[in-house]
Amino acid sequence: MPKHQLDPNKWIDSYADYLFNYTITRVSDRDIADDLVQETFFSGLKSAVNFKGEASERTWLVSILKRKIIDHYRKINSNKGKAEVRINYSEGESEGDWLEERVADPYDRNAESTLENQELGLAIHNCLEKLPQKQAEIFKMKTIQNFDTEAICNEFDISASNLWVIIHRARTSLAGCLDETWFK
Amino acid sequence: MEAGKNTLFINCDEAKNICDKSQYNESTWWDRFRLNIRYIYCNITRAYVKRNEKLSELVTDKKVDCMESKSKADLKTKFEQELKKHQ
Repeated sequence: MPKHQLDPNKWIDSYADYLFNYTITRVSDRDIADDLVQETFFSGLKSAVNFKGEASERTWLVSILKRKIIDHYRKINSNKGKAEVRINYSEGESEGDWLEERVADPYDRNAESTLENQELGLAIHNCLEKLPQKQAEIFKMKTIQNFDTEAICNEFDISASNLWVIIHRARTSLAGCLDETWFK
Repeated sequence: MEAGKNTLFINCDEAKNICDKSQYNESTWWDRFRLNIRYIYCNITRAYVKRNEKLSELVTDKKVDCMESKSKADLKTKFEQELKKHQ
């Protein structure tokens, strides 16, 4: 029995923000990032039959996304796309041969800090995934998307007191998770 | 248990609540004043404030981003239609 299984019904809620965050740090355009994430999910559906269960669902989706991003670079004829990259295009989930991120970008003077920012963003999303879904959604709406308290309360049919309890729990959990996974 | 809004001295839970609201600029000056009083003498409050501010710094410094709600809702609709074709 494969270790991991796919559940496309949960993909958008579980992974859309993670994949978006991964993409936006690489393409810097929200519309393009939206499109690439959409293409990733659709490609995932088409190649679901090839999923062997050796990698996690998210790892597998990220491997698809990486290919979409590099295709995007090539399509726009960017320097990143022109860099000589050896990619193992085996179908499915293996990420081990992906070398693109090891190619130095000569135009990026702050490569190290950019990479750290990207990794930190993903670490935060990792921690957000561990929260109960409602808590994670409310935290994202309040903290990342800057929705008003009233708008969130209306959306979820909760009081302002409830909202702050949820925010408090989310923040406490996130801080604890980051202490364990990032700052140690 | 929430301390009375007119009292100068607040408990730890109230301090944490005010600290949380302060991260979103939704605390009053009186709340912040009371938090500062507690901050002076309470280690737990100091630790919480420090940790909370660090979290805000990480998240709001554009180190993390997510899809716009409308974009995600549109994606969900399209994906559900596509999913039906595969079932």
